Amino acid sequence: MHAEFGNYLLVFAFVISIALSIFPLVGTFTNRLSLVYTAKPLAVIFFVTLLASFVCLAYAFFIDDFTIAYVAQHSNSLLPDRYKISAVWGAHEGSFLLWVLIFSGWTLAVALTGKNLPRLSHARILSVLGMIGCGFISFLLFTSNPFDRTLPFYPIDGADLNPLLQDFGLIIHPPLLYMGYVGFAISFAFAITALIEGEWNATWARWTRPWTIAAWSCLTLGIMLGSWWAYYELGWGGWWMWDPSENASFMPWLSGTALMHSLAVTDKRNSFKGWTLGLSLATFCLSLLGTFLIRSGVLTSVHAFANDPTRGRFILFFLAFVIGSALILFLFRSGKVKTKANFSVLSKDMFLLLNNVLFISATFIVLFGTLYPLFADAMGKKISVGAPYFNSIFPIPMVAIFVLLGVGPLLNWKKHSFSKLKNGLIKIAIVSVLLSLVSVWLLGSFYLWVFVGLALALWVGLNSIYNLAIITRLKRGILAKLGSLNRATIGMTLAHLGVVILLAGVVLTSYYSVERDLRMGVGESQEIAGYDFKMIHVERFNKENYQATQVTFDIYQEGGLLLTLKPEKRTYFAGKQTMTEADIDASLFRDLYIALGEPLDSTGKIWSVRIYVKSFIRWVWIGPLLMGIGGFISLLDKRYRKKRKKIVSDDEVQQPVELQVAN
Amino acid sequence: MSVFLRVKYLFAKSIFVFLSLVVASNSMATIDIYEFDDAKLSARFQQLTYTLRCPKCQNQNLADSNSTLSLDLKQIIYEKLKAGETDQQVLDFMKQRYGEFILFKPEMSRSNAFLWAGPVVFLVLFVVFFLRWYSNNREIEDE
Amino acid sequence: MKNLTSRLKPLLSLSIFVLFVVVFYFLIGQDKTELPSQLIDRPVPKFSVRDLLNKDLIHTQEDFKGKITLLNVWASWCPSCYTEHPFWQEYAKNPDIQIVGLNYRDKENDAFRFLHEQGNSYLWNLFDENGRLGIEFGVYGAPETFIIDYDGMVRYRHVGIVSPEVYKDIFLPLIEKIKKGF
Repeated sequence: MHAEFGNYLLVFAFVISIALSIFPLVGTFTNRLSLVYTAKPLAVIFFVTLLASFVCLAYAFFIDDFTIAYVAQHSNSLLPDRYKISAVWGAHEGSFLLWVLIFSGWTLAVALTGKNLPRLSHARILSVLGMIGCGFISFLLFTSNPFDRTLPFYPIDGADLNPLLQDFGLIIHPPLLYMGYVGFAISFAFAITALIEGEWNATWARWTRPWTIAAWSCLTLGIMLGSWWAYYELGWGGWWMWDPSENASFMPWLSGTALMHSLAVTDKRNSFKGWTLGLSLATFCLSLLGTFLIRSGVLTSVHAFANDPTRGRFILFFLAFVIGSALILFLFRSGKVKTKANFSVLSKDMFLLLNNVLFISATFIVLFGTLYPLFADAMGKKISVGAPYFNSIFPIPMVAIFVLLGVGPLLNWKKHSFSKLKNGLIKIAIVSVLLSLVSVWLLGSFYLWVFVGLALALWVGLNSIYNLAIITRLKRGILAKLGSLNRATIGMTLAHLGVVILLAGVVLTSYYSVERDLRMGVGESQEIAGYDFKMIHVERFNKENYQATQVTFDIYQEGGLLLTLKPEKRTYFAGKQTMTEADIDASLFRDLYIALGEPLDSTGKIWSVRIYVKSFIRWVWIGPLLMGIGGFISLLDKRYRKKRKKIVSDDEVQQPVELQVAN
Repeated sequence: MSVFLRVKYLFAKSIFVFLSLVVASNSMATIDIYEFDDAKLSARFQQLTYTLRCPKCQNQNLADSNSTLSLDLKQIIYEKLKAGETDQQVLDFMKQRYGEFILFKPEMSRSNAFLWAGPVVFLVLFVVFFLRWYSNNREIEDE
Repeated sequence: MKNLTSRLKPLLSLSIFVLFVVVFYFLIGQDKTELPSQLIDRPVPKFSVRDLLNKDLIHTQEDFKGKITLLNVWASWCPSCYTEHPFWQEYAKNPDIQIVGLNYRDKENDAFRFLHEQGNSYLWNLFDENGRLGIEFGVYGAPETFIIDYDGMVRYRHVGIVSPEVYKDIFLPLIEKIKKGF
């Protein structure tokens, strides 16, 4: 029964989404409040039916119902329970159900918290979300139904979840990632509604901001988890490969970062409206583009879902419809929101506008590099654009961004006097350069990019602290100073420090990590970067659904035993797939990473082994973790929870409680 | 066959390693799978295997791929570097047999001019237009 | 002037948008993993490789001259090759062509066993144990089949099984074309 229920619930949700798209919207134009009031209950029902449908699918996995094709393809009776549940989103159909469910969750959140928005606008926003949801559900229902059956025949056991996915990473990475992706639909819906109504002002921006920050934080954490997962799961120590599927998530992130900062300006200065509107539309469009690229079969990637052309075409049309409508609305209705250049060169406004320009350029770089091979393929030329390309070009706007990031938060809105700033900046610049030189000297070899990267990281980091010092200069004592900071400022500073740690981690790990491909036998030892790796023994054992060959390594440092690592090679019973499970010792300043290759002789005592000493790699994930936490902290700022006066018009713009500014 | 490897990290550490290895280990048969005496060749090998694509994998470079074809190609690169060929010769060899597809770093040719120049031109034009807009429309009230 | 640019901008953006949609539509459904051969309309690479069955016999690129050759890359570890192999018996009946095998990265005994169990429709087989010859041909998997003309020029490479449909719709017309001297 659960399969039937699950399917009927999807159909019901589809109908609800149509109702949500039409009734409230019609109500706002015909002044029928009864229709307008349907928005909230419809949103609630939408979410609840999808949740119920999702539960049905999860239940099917839990009880090993292999009469459902999706369950049969991606599960197995031997699969541990926690992976049976996460297998629900382990492949295309189920992960898209999760996607739609999360989307309905966001929609519900907007429905429940719209008290302070004008009633009509709130209804329109929900209708726009309803239309998007309708598109998503129809894709699910008509091309990718997870409840399709295998009847009248069904397999005795399932094909098993891909071993690479039998991991904690699958449990958390997709949900967080999707929360980010679809979260940007909210600012999209706000923007569309604003364009329909012909009005976009600071109070609109104030309303959109928390949703955008929440989505951005989720996406940041989602991408970070993906990187971390790939690192330990795939066995070759890579944490960012500029793979098209990674780029698909990175583009909305870059655009979303620009959006988030642009919204701050519109909120505070009632300015940059065109930019913010455009970015709101673009960010969600990039999310959709990402979904299209991954699920349509147009990309070659380990991460791409294998799919038939019908699905690809469906998403393409949906994508075209959404982007096309957004584009047309923007082109013809945004003319009224011209930005005024009412700020001087040295001002927060200017720096944030430059920030927009640079982040948009960065987005374009990634977009260009990702799409170029596809377009070249359409013209008959097979070409690859990989890490070397992106690593050459992407740093260009990034360097500029980091330079600006050092100064920006220190500036006043509209105008800041340079003379006040000059001394502090020069001192910090000198200290940054010197400390960077010292660090590079301590690390051993000089690499230009490490020097530049560390100098920029210090530049931004020290300036952030300097900023805090200036803001709290009137308070005495460090506790009083810290206590006087509002959460928006704390969040911002934490997030910026996070970026800085990320930058430092990236340059350090790229240049100071050591990698060796070795042929090693039991009893043999190898020195790498000051550590002695000794292969001790090989053993075999069985687990729930795989057989493992485990090789034990003892690692010595300066003569004494430091730790033991036990990488494995696993053969899964169900699908007979073999995969390598690396063992890693993580620490703040370096990871020790061992991955097994192949046994090189018949006794199984000699192996090809890959050993890494990855310097500072944890920083690559601690950075974004802080960024995400910073984002969430800024959401807790008092102003978002204060009872708001109803939004009326531009003239009655409420005084925004803002980031504390240094004067 | 016993092969002794000198790791070039820091001079002091190298000497320490030499001594400790001679004293502490029982057998020195561990070798690099692709073994070079010259650290520069080793670095070039790493670079090349990162910049060449596995022709049959789903978007992996040779370094990270364990497919038989990748192993064969890596072996060829190893032999070529030991024989003294340049990086460009290795890349050309691969390109002649598998096409531009095998190069993760697109060539700087005329047909790829758009690819390499495009984003940079975009950035430059964007900044230029922005600055022009700013200087033309600047309206700041005197304080 | 202002009106022109303001009308141009939407037009430009919309046309770029439409272009993108069209290109994406076209790209859907195409096999992304297939690589075009670099040898089309080029001579067979120079090589010197021994025969699979006759240890003392050495083949070179000259052996492809004078007849239209279908060079089939196969191996005993390749599942699709088992499916494809019976078809070659049929295709070998064509008097205009000779069918030659390239045994790719196989052990001698496994290759013998394959031919013994599945039949041998090949005129002769190249024994490429270490795969180097395959790399010269730009081979990236098995089965693959090359069509080589009278002058030893590669005219076509097919990736995957040469099914009867493929043989009829692609191979035969090309063979006719080569016969006519094109």
